[in-house]
Amino acid sequence: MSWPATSKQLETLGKKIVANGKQTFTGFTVAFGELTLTAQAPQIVLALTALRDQYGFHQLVDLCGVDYPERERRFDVVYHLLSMTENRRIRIKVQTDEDTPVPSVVEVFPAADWFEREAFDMYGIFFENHPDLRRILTDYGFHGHPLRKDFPMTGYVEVRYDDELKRVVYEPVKSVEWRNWDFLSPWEGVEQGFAPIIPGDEKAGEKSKS
Amino acid sequence: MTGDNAPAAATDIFDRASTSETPVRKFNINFGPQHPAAHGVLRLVLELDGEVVERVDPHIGLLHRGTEKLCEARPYQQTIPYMDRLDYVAPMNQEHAYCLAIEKLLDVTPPYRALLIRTLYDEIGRILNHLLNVTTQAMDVGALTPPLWGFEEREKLMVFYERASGARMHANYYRVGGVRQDLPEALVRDISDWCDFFPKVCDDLEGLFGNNRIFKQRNVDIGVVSKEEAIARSFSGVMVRGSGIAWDLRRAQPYAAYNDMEFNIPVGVNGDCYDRYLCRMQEMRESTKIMKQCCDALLKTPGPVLVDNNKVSPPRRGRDEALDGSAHPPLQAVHRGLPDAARRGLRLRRGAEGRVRGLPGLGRHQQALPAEDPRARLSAPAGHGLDEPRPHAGRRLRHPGLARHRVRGDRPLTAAAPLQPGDLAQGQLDAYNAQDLDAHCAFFADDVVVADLNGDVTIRGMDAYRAKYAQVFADFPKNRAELANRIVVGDTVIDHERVYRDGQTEAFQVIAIYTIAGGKIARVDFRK
Repeated sequence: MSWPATSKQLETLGKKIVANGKQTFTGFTVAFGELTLTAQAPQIVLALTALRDQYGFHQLVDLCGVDYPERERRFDVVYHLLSMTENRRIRIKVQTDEDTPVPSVVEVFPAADWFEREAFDMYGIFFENHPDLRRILTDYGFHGHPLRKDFPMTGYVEVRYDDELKRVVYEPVKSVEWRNWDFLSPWEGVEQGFAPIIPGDEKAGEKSKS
Repeated sequence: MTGDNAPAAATDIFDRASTSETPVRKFNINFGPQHPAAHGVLRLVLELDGEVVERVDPHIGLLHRGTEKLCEARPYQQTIPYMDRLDYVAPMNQEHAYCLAIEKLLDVTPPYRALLIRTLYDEIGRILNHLLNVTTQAMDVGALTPPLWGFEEREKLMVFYERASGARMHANYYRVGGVRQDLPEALVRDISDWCDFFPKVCDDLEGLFGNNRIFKQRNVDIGVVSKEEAIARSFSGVMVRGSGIAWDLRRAQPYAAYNDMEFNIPVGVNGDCYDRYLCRMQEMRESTKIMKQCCDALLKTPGPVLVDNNKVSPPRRGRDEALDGSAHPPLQAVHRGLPDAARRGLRLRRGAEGRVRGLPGLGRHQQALPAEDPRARLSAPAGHGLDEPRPHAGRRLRHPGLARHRVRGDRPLTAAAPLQPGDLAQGQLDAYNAQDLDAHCAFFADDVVVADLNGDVTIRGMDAYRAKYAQVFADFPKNRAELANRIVVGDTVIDHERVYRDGQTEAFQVIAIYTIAGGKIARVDFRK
């Protein structure tokens, strides 16, 4: 089919999918020329099976997490599907939190195996019935889930070679201060005393007083 | 050696004659993380039954660099160099994918020449990749020469990278809305020449090991992937094409200039290692065709290589446009991060502890916020939306970081300041067309000499010069000269001009050779 799909075509497809699967899908949006479906986490296996068998989305391109720490159910799990025959892409999102597992879709798409391990490693999202839910990317003995927004970019431990012990040692990170000041920016960091006050800025304060 | 992993006892050998099957104990061995055949940092924990690998546990994270985490705290432009490091075999292709995502969010389309350059360098990246793949594949089954031959060509391609971007590998060349700078014509011609030469190298490589018995023994019917498996395992690229699925994003969902390119998509039959090798060899030949088409098109299509939208790209050096007042807030955006809802969401959602609380940005693990994301809208204080007009826009002019980006303004050039030779020639021409005698004469030295190309001096000294052009301006009030071409060599400027005496019809063409001395035009040699 033609590429790229128009918003109208995507909306038609989205409406059709949601209408045919009222138990499974909760809604859809079309943004930036892409169709995004939403579903409840417990229904994800049903949803993906339907998309694979009824709509020809036979390939799971990607599965990943997203963290919205201010939300009650802070994680999104996002599935990207592709149909090579229809030449269409689709995205489906479900929500979960730190404790509630999402059903694993390894049975539907074998490729989900490592993707789910990665989402578990990076975000601490649990996947129910996953055959081998271990960490996949982080170091041996790693603690925490680095892509959570409340995980500091510096991490908690750092590694160096100790010449006396003749081996690599792990130590707590010494400088965990968030260093994000910016000398080029006229407005960021002033409150921390990093950025220079630009000549003329003091007038803005006077003006607001008067 | 004792324990589970001990080799079979020597007495087994003597029993072999009397027993039909010798029981062999399984071995667990560790491969890597540092191993020449790992082509990087890969650790495998293997379970062997004799020479057959029964189970593998790959430890793939040893090179994980937390790119997504690093990208959370930086503006989009500053994260493009990280993309190079995702795949140092074909770095620009990674930059391309990232830029495409941002361009989709911002609804920016790069100029056509930029698309051609991207297509060209994507195909260079593909060849870089395939050359490494097929030749080290041969090395892994026992041949040493193929990588030496392949890497010779890779080196040439990396020189093309270097000539475009300044770096052999971590190019940082693609930009949101185009590429960093234009390609010199000589480079395009050299790439074009290379394309003529390279198919011969492919033939040589194939002759070297393609039909080699050992190479075939160790690749044919090895690693067979069926069509169904290829799809179920989320394969893409050569991995699906080797299994016989004609799927190529360049054709199915074209980006850059692939829609205008002629090329074939090689597809395998058996889905084994040998078919994938054949696909890669053929794809390199097809890539060469695409590169050749890009080079031809680039030689015919001059133009900008970056969008002329200062919200996403900085102004080009030397562009004769004013950059003060209203033009600056968007320029600020270029320095501070791009103006979209997602970025706004990041920069403003800081927690009390001063930590950035989160952009679901554009890394592989991150989703862009929809444009209508209510949080982004609610948390954006007035006046901080980068695409909104800002109060006190003018004050930023005083900021030293921005001052260096000011180029000469839109004022006509005057001869007061020391000027470059090209500027002098342009200045006098502008004044000539404006019929501003004083300004025009100010570009010339007091002892200016005007001669024809035979060396016969027609005017000597400023007084004579001024008198001559006072007359010209008086005689032809609509007189106009149009620059057709300009060559600047050191202190000499050669202009080819078309002169319209009545402002409409071309009266004559002129070649003027200006010789500059002491910041003024000291001599003019004319040929009408």
